[in-house]
Amino acid sequence: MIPLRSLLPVLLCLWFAGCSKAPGGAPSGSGTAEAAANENGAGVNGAGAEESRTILLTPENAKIRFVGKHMKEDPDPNPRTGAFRKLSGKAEVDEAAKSLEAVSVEFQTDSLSTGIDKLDTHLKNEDFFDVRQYPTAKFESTRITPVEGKEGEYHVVGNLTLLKGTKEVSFPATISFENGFALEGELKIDRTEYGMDRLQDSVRKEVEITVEIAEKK
Amino acid sequence: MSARFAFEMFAYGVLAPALVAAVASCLARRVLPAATAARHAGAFAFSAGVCAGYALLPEWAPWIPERHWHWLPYLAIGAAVVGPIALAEGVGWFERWMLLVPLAIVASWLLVPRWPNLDPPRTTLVPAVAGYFFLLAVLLDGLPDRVPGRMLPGALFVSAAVVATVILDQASVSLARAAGLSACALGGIAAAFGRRATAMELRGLVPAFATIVGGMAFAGCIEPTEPLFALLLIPAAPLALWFLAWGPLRGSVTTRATLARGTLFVLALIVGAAAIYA
Repeated sequence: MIPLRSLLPVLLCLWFAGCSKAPGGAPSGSGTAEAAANENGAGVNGAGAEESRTILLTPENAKIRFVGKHMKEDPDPNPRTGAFRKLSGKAEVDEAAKSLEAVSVEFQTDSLSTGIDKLDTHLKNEDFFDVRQYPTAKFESTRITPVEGKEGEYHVVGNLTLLKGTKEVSFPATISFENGFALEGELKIDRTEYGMDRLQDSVRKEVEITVEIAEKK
Repeated sequence: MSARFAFEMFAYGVLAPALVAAVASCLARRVLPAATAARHAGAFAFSAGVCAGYALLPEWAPWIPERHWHWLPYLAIGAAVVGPIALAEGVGWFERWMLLVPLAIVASWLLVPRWPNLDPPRTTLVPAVAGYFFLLAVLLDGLPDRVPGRMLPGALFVSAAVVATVILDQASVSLARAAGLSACALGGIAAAFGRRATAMELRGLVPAFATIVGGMAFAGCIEPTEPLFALLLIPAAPLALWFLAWGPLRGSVTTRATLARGTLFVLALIVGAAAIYA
């Protein structure tokens, strides 16, 4: 007969194994501080799947703008600002945790508009956005981390595909949930890294891109 | 525009193709037997000027084609071969035209882009553009016998220059630089030929003009998201000279005849420009 005392370590192992994994594979962690946070949907980015919400991005609630500058003067007294009128995508947010989990957006490059028809034509041609060859561009986040000690501020990392290049970019973003989800972010890219390498003598290679999402509830 | 860019544009984009074309035409006239030179000089010089200018363009104009219009230097060489062959002794008008058909089809096949959003689709554009190249070459082929002096080489040069200018204004700086090469090469040839341009020399040049200047006009017109097909009228502007190819002014070199031809040609350009900018 096996003494109960010798079975005790085995039983303890079985008990711990049963607790460490929930049936769905999600960490159960019952009885821990982490579990409490998850159940309340606060504190941990990506926690509490039932609180996640997908916001579809449309031209009405999302704006992607860019600023290009000339080489002639520094600072350029007449920078050119444009926006893409056709875009689609989604942002996954955790309402309860008030956190951003993922964001992806695809925009039609031939929808760019600066308000100056002639400039639009030039920006669409092969010297710049080459919209005939590359009609779409996209951004997909790969990692979003909150900035420690700064509520609502995040560091977004993702892949930007523009023309023939896909490059990892990162930028700071501010989010809020006051009147629906809102995000503001700004990044700078080197256009030549994407193959947009013409006319470097007259147009700077650094391009500022701003992203704004303002969900209307 | 920076000083370096302006220098590049002028030295590499204007001077080089013009000089190379002028020198090549003079060399061909001097080195080759007269009958051979008459057929080859213009086409050879044009092709040499375009290729020299293309070689001096920045890295966005590679020799291994990445875009449709990167085939232009190869098409210039092809047209410089086909054009004079089509004029060889014993080749009748029908055989000549039959030689121009494959050139037009190959040029169209290579120059019509494979873009995902091409409208009209490639299946429509390839035969249409081939027909345009062919018609342009065939219709221009009859002019050198009927239009004397500098008028025709001058008209070809001006048409090519207007194509490049419109592309610069309506499409792309890079494309305009490439289009400018053919204009400058034609300018060099017109200057080198002077008043001594023979009808045979100009006829040898015609298929290359139709393929390259017509091809650049097509590349420029298809670049904007709303194609500017009216740009295709500009390389066809010299065809207006057909209106004076008959009657009392045929072959006339008087000031009155020259003025009349010039006016007709300019009117044709104005109609083309009006169609583009309307």
